[in-house]
Amino acid sequence: MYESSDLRKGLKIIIDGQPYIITDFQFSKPGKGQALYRCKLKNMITGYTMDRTYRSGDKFEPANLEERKMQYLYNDGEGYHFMDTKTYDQITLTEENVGDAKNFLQDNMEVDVLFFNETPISINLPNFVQLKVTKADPGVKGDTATGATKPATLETGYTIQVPLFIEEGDTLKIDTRTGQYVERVKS
Amino acid sequence: MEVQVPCSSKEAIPEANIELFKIEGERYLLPSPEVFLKPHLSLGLDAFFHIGPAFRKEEKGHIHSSEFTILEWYRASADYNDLINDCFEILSWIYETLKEKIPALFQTAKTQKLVSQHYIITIEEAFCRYAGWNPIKIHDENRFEEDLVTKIEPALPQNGAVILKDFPAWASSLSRIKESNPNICERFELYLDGIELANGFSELLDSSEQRLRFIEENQKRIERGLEPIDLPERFLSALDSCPPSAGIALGIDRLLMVMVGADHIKKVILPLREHF
Repeated sequence: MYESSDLRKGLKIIIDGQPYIITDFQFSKPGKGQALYRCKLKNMITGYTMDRTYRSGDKFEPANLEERKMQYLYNDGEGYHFMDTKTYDQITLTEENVGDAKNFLQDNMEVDVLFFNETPISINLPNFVQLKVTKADPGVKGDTATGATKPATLETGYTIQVPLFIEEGDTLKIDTRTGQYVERVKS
Repeated sequence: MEVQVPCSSKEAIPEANIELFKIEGERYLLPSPEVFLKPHLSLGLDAFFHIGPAFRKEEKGHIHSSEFTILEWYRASADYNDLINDCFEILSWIYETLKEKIPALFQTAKTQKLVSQHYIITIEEAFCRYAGWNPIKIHDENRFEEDLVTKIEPALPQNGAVILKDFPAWASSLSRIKESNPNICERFELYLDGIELANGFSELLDSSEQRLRFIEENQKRIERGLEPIDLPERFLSALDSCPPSAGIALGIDRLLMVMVGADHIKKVILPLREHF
């Protein structure tokens, strides 16, 4: 168990049976008053955030979380299938668990799957991925204004904004944290 | 007049919310110099101060350090309003004395206007305005402390000096109850740029009343699993012979934070002190 004085940014605890991460923390002690431990918390499954204030004497259960390296296999409509690269165990995540990461998932991609009490709850992609453009309209000639963009569809079916010189078949480097185009990769 | 006091003491003031460091010989590191300083009033000193270290266990945050520096001063024949004036005079004096040498001094506090623009608000007014209830009429200690930090402090002006005064009587600790209203004590907090800097009050000088409050504080300590503190008999026996007076403690490290615009107390405490 954790005590209030253990609370700090980044600590993972259980509240009402759900795993939360402390995203912001402040110790307060007004005047002659009691110590207050003010936390901003993020639910690690739903992403829901909330503020809570704790006092000396409060106790917290550590969240039993574990990250495992897994390989993405395929999506068969029922879910996203992954395989543990060490044990070859296979698991299935729902679309909700996978979240926005589905826009950048490629077959055989290695990702970190987060488990809470042995149940997979979310995945973490590498910060950068490389994906092929499957559809892009030709850039309009003469339109060379800097910063001008057009939509392009990636092999995952996701559409992003890219510079005008990008063509079908190009491979692009994408930042998965922002979901934005970084650069064209020379093939 | 400056008064020197030891860093440790056999006696300590029983306070529910302060955790003490105990050292060899059953002595406490001083959580505040009060236990030594206040009895000087009974010796006939009428204005004196002390600057020195203070130690409080389990306090660590952007404006908390378990070792810090206190400036504490007392005035005989005075009350908390005199101390409020002292605060503004000290802040203005610091500004006038140092502004040529430190151009970035009090950059956000706009201290050149500290005296003319300071803002005084009572607890009752602040809570009714920003928290929607009156803690002078409703006694709820937990809600009071939480709202003070989450609703009142952020709503107060964040530039310059603010006085928050007239605390509920239950939060009086060592301060005098207002004659005109038994639910209010003559206590205030000074904030500068939103940071709580000082706590001052008209002194309670009735030893039997003070003894009862210490017993209550010890009761709260026991409820929270803390060791009760032996009543400071030497301190109590000096109270009855003190003249009407007022005293205040100001956090020097926090004052420095505001003066130079530091966002964490660590940045104004010498780094090597961390190792001792």
